[in-house]
Amino acid sequence: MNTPGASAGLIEARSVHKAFGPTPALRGASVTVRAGEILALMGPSGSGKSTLLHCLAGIYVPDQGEVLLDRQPLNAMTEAQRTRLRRTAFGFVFQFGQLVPELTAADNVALPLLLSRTQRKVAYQTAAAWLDKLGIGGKGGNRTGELSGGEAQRVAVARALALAPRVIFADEPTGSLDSLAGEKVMDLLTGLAREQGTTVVIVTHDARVAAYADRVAMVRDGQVSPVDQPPAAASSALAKGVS
Amino acid sequence: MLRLGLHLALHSGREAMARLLITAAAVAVGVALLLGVLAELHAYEANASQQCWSCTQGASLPATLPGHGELWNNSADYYQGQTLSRLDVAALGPGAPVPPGVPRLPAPGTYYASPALAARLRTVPADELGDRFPGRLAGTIGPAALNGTNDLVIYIGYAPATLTRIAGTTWVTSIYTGAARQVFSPYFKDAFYVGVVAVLLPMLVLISTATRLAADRREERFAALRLVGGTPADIRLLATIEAVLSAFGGVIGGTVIFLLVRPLLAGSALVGTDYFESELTPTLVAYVSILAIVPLAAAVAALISLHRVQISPLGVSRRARQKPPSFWRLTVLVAGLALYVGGLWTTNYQAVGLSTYPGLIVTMIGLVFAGPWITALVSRSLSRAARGPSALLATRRLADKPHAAFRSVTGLVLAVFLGTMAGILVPSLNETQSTPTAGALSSILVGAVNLAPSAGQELIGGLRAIRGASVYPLYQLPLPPGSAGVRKEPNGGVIAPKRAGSQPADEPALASPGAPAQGFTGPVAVSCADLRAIAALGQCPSGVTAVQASDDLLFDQNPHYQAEPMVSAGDAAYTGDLATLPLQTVLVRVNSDSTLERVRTYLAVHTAPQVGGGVGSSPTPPLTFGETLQIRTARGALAARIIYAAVALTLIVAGCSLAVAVGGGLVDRKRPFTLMRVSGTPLDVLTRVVLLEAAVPLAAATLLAAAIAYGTSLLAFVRLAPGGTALPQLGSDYYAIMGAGLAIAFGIIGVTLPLLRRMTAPSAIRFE
Amino acid sequence: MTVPLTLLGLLEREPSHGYDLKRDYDEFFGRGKQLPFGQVYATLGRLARDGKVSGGDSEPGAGPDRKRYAITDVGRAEVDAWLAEPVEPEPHLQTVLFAKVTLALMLGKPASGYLDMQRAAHIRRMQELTALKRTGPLVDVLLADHALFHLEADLRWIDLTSARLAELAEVVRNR
Repeated sequence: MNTPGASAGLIEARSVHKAFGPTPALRGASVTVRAGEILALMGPSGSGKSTLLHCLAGIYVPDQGEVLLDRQPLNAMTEAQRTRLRRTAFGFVFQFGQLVPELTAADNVALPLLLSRTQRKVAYQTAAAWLDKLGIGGKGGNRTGELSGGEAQRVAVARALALAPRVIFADEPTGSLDSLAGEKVMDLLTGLAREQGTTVVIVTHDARVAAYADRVAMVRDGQVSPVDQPPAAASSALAKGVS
Repeated sequence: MLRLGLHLALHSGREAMARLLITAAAVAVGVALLLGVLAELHAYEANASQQCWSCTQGASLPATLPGHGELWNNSADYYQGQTLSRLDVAALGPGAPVPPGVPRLPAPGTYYASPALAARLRTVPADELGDRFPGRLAGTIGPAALNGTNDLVIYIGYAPATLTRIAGTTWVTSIYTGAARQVFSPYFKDAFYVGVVAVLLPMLVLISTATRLAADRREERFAALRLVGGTPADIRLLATIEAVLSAFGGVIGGTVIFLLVRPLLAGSALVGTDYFESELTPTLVAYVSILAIVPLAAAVAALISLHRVQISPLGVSRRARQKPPSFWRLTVLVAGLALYVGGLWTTNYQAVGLSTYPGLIVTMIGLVFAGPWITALVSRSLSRAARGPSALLATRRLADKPHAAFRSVTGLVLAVFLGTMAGILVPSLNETQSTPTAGALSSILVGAVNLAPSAGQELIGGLRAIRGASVYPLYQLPLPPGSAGVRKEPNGGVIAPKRAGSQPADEPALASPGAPAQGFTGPVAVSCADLRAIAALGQCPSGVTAVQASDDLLFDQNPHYQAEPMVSAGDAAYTGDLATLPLQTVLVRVNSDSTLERVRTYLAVHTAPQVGGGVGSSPTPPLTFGETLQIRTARGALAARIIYAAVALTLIVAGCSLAVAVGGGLVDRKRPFTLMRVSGTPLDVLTRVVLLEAAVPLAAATLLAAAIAYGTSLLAFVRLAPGGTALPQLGSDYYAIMGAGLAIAFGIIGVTLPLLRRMTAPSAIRFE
Repeated sequence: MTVPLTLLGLLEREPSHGYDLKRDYDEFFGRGKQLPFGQVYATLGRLARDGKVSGGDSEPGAGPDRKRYAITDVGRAEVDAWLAEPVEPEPHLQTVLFAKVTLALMLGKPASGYLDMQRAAHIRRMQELTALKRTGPLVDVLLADHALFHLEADLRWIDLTSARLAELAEVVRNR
């Protein structure tokens, strides 16, 4: 839970700028993610929300501004340290799972643990337990290609949770799923995360997915704003344009 | 981590397993080839460094026989296409030196024979072989004295008194322990190395093609690993494990293949007869270094292939867009050609020019290097002229990715290069030797006998008694006063020109038994009737019964000179009685192999043995013209066999390379092709695209390779062959092999086409 | 409740006669159904009684339809409050949302800001409904799903309209 004076949350982005070539994706985006909360970042495509997620996870280094994890600047860490975070502190559920094709579900879930030099037996036991919790305990031996979309996403969720992360980053986790499968995935993801006290950051354009979160923020034109207020710089411009 | 790597390598699905297996197979073939070449090299070296006991030079016999050492008479005989090395030896005291391969000197009246000779003695009629050797078999000669399993060698024991009476006997106190002087070394040893490189290059191409199979899927896998926290070092380790695994499998497989094939290799000795199988093995050092180096090379190759891609957690991006091949790629090719020409310039009969072979290797590498540029050039110009969708698609893709396109046909281009060089040079090896007249004389034996008139007539009578033999004697004429007789010196060299010895003429004109039997060539008288019977050696002037001539050329080792006519219309007549002259030489025409051997046996028993003429010149047995020719061409034929075998192997490897590349390319482009079919593109458009994409780089680079190879080998020929020999043309052999190879290549592509049909079936596509 | 506020909003734009008011209402908000004169005058009367509207001077010899009405400060405040406050998120809100956006554009008020606030309210409601689904019986879950889908539809409309505001403003102001 929040500690007093922790207006600095678990992860904090401060005025992050990131451009790919000539196109700026983020223009001074700032957001604070509090420990244990489930935050949804909503926005239309092209708004930079995925880029923001990647910056929060340390996959991208911002051109300007900083990203802090527990007050430690992520962008000052070396690539090796940030890679290590992805093995030990961060879990990922992306739209297409990003599972290793042709490996079995159990292999995929155990993978981050194996990469952290966890003992093989322990890793696979943990994997089996989490697959069970996600309701696909019997599918451990199936290859990724043999699973349905919903099942594959559940494997991704299991993989994310199995390493007992501090934060789970999800980018359109139900984007390629039908309604029921999507509901199941979101139920399991948010339910299990709350159980473990894991922080979750979800990026989505789908309001019904965002509704699973504790808090929703809007990402528009490379900036973040609470959902009921327009971005600070843009609001006056919009107002002027309309009158 | 290692275990994770192995697990990933082995359990990553069908395509990854296929890649693993194909790479292992490619490595296996390469390793087997390499081991074979190393084995050959080892056997060759072992032979070359073997003790040359027949190089022993004795001193002339003192008047009274000493009490130590031995009497030594080393001569050469011939049996059915093989030289028979003969040592007649008599111990003069205890402790006489023993030649290699036997426990002691043979007792008088016994002999030791090599296993091959012993076997023949059992089966062949005595008057064709066994009668040449007095005594009985006491044992076999061991490998220490032999070059190969089929060598014919015999040590015959005598009482000293008997041996002193045989011409050519010397006194020996110690046996030569050095190695024989190899005449071929400078040419063949370096050629070995070029051969190794030439065969290995396509192998490397095959391996690198196999490594690139399913590369996209592999990179996807690595991206996923990066997402869950694998470091770039982890990725490199995993890729290396995969590469080393397949390389190891390949080394094991290759060694097994080599061991299975080894007995077949034994028949390919370059010098002498079949190698002993025990010598035909790579050394332990070679095995261990292959075991270490090949997986290492595979690991390095894997790391290099990862270098070009940047694997981020979100997917893969190319580190840099591959620049189109530049004009400067041609420089390596040009440099190679320059080196080669420079090397040829400095080549003489002593040695091949230093930069020739390296120049050849650099030229081959230059071809591989320049290939993409050529492909890009040709496809760019073709795409402007392209009509029709398939041509357009194919040339565009070629122009866009010339490296990938050329990679699949690199092996074939190298095969064509080698094959063309072989096609020119191999026939020309034989070109320089044979002449038309040699054929007419092939069944005529030339025997130097040097007997007194009565003994000579006896010999002629004895020979005439052999059924199937016709004898044409050449009688010795007295030397003109004050002129030098020409001592016959058999020469052992193949390429060195005939050297006429010049010794002072105060030696007795007659060779008598007991004196060193150096034969004489010189003026002879021959009956015109005999000349008419022989026909090919010239005709007398009209109205003459006997003519004076010279028999020097008959003993030349080069069939070209040997078969020249020895008599012409301008020669002086001889009017005396031929039967009163000493007999210098006999020409014997035989009608069958057994007659030939009976004649030789008769000569062995009734004339002096053919001994050597000094260090470095080996004794020459009595041979027919045909056999002389055969000896020369045998070497060429062997070299031709080896070279064509190498070319065939290269073609096979190149074919596999092409199959792997085309197959892999189809798998990679399955989805775009299927989508094209779904949107209405007919299948044969796609088929033509696949064919064109292989055909264009193949045609362009192959033509260039063939042209360069033709040019370079013609250059070599012009430089090295004796003047006046005709320029070799590419024979039907060449076109047959090349045609077959290219047909097979396209056959392979053809085989993948039904696969194309099935793989791109519109019903198989998934859209979600 | 919308009609009085809509008429009030139209009056804020400019004072007008009852007849003109009805005509404008029908045009923008009638959707095929015309507002009865009686309702117009009754509403205006009530508004005047509440002090939100001032019945203007009538032309001599005119009936009630010749009365000119104008908005008062009280009325203005009420319109502002109404526009600024988001509607309770429920299904079938098209009429109200539409009216508010159009009036805001007419009056030069920050329409996109209002849309954003409405979006926030919708999302809050959706969060509540989702939490309900976690613990409630299946029937409640089905009802909640139904509501969620409709709310989502509204949100989509809000997004699309936000994107079209400039274009819409042109149309509205050129009437």
